[in-house]
Amino acid sequence: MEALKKIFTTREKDPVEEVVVKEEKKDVKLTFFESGYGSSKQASGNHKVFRACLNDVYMDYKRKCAEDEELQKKLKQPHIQEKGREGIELKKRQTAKAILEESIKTDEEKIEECEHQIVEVRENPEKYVEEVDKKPKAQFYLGLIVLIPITFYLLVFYISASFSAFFKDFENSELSAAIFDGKSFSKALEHGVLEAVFIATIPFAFMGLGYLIHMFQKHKNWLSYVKIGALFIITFIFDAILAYQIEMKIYDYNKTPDSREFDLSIAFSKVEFWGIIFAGFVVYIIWGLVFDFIMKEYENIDKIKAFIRSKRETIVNLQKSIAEAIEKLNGVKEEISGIEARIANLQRTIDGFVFPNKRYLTYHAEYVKGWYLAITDNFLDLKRRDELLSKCDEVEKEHLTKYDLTDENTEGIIYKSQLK
Amino acid sequence: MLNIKKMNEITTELKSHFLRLYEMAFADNDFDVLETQMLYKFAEERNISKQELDNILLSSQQESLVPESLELKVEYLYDLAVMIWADGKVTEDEMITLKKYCLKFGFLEENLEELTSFLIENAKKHTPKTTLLKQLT
Repeated sequence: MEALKKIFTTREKDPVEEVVVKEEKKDVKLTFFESGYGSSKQASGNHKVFRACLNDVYMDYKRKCAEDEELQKKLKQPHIQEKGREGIELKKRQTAKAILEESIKTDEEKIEECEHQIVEVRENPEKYVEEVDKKPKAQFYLGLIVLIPITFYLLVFYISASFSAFFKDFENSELSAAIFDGKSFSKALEHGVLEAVFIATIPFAFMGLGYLIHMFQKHKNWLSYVKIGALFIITFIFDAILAYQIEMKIYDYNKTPDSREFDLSIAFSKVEFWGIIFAGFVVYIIWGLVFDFIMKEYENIDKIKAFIRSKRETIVNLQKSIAEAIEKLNGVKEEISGIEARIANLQRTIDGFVFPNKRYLTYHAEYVKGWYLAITDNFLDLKRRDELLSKCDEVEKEHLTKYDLTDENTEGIIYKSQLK
Repeated sequence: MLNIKKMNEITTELKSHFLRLYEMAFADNDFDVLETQMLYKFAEERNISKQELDNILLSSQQESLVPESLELKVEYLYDLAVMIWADGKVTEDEMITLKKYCLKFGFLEENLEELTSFLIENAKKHTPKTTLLKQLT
C-alpha cells in the first residue's frame, strides 16, 4: 500500500512567479509638484521654458519606465497571457489543418483506388465480384447464339405438332407430313385467325415453363426442386398428349376393321410417339438449360455493372467530402494567418516597451500644478498672470496632444520597439 | 467483435474526461501538432464524435486546468488508460501520451514507469474506478 502511495506522489507546486511592483512613494508626486514649482519660479512661468520642461519631464519618466524591468513585466503581463491564448488557438487550428489535409489525401487515394478498380473489374471480375465468371460477356453472347435458333426450332416444332394434334385432317393430308407440316401455320390461318393464334402461342407456354425453371432455381431449397420436378412432369405429360393425339390420328387413318382400338400400349410401341416426345421435350429441356445459363451470365454482367456503379457513387461522395474539406481547410488557413499576425503583433509588444500613460498623467498633473502655483504666487499683476497661465495651458494641451496622452481611458501606450 | 464491444463501453464520463485532457494538450508545449493530431485520431477510433472534437479545434474555449485533488488526477489518468486499452493494445505513442499527462499532473518523473504500468494493468483488468481510488486512501 505504501509503495502504491509512493508512486502517486506529486511534486511540490512550483512557486508562482509574482510580479511585485514596488509601491510608489507618495513623495514621488510631491517631487514632481516641487520640481514644477521650482522650475516655474526660476523661469518666471515662461511658456517656452514650460514647453521644454514638460518635454524633459516626459522623456525622463519614459526612460525610467523603460529601464524598470519589473514595471515592464507587469505592464506586459496581459499581452504575454494573450499571446499564450493565441498560441493555444494556433495549435488547435494547425491540428485541424493537419487533420483536414490528411483526410483530403486519404480521400484522394480512395478515389484513385476506386478508379483503378473500375478499370480492373473488367479484366479480373472474380477479384472484386463474388461468384462471377471470368468472361461473362463472351459466354452470354455464345449462349444467346445457341438459344435463338433453339427458340425458333421450338416455335416451329410446337406450332406444327399442336396443329397436327388438334386440327389436322389426316384424310386429306400426306402421311409423311403427319408430324411435321411445313404449311401448318398457313393452313391454320385458312381455318380461322383463332386457330392460327392458338397454334402460334402454344410454344410460348413451353418457353414460359422454361423461364419458371430458371426462376425456381434461384432459390435453392427443397420446395423449388419440387416445383421444378412438377414442371418437368407437366411438360412431359403435355408433350405425351400431343404425341398420343398425333399417333392416334395416324393409327385411325391406317387402321383396318380388325385392328383393335388405339390405346396407350399401342402408343408406347410406336416410334413416332417417342420421336415427337424427344423432338419436343428434350429440346425444351435444352432450351430451359441454355436460357438459365445465359440469364446467369447476364446477371454476372449486371453484377459488374452494379460494382462499377457503386464505385462511381463512392467517387462522387468522396469528391463531395474533399470539396467540403477544402472549404474548411481554407477557412482554417485564413484563421491561422490571422492568429499568426496577432501573435507577431503581441510579440512586438512584448519585445517593445509599454508606457504607463495614466501613471504619467498623475505626475504630469502634479508638475503642471506646481508650475501654475508658482505663477500665481509670484505674479501679483492679474492681467500678466492670466496671460501666462493661458499660454502655459495652451502649451500643456499641445504637449498632451503631441504625445497622444489625451485619452485617459487607455492604459498603457505600446511602443513596438525598445527605447534605446 | 471484441474490440467493438469494448469500444461501446466508453462512457460519457470517459469521453468528457478525454475531451478535457485533449483541451489541456493544446495549452501544453510538451504536446506538438503531430501529437494532438494523433490524439484526435485516437479519440475518433474510440467513437468520440468528430463534432465534439472539432468543437475543441475550431472554437476558442477556456483553457482546461489540471485537476487539483489527487483523486481527480488519478480518475482522469485512469480514464485515459481505459481508453488506451479499449482496442486491446497499447502503442508506444499512447504510452508516451499517458506519461506526458502524468508529468503534467505533477507526478514524479522517477515513478512514471510504475505509475503508467499500474494504470494500464488495472485498465486491462477492468478494475472499477472506485476500487482503484480506495487503494490510494
